[in-house]
Amino acid sequence: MVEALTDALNGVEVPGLRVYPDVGPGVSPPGVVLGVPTFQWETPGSEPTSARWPVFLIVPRTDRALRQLWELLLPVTAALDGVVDVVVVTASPSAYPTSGGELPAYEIQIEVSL
Amino acid sequence: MAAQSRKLKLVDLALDGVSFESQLRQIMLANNTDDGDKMWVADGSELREETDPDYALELTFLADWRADGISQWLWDNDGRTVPWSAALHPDITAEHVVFGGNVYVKAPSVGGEIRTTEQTEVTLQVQGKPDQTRPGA
Repeated sequence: MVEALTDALNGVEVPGLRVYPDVGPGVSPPGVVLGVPTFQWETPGSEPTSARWPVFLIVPRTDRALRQLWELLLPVTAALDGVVDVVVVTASPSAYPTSGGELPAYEIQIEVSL
Repeated sequence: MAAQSRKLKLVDLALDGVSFESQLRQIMLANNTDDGDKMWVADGSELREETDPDYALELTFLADWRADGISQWLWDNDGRTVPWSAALHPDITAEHVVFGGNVYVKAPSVGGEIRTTEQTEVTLQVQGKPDQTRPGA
């Protein structure tokens, strides 16, 4: 699923948008970071059947950060929602912690059937 | 065998040939058919009395009172019998299933709680048992 999400995000036609498939220490905005998912087991089997995944859309802290977040939000959510069995649930304002301080962000919650 | 799990994500819904899925929030083809009375026959075996199929299409939409919106359409077509179809998972060929038939259109209840998103909820009674096809088969 990480590969499918990463492929979809790499297909977003926004110049300079970086995709981070893992929560690493260095993030260069604008970028999208796949967070750590919450898994659910809903059947007797040993494998999880669904996941709720935070995806962070991050932009530089500038005087047009809000405008940039809004410009990027719909292309990013459309790419995520285009993946089979992924539904975008919410996008909430957030602040993403980096070594250089917190950056303006949206935390996008997606739900995934596995 | 691993569990099969799907989100109900894409649904193509048409009433009398008009597509309304863009407003759709919830869809349920409810089987309300009676189970029939239990009967015992002389050899001791158990049977169930046959009953007529009774299905209903339970729909919830974001209300749309524009001239061509679903809320107005239901109001305008109250009492008519029209063809319907609902295609589930049209983007997954192996799981694409289409249900359809005829329904009796009923005008919806109108209104809701102030300062909340207005919804149009309606239950349309289906004629007989719905047809089912698998376009990808």
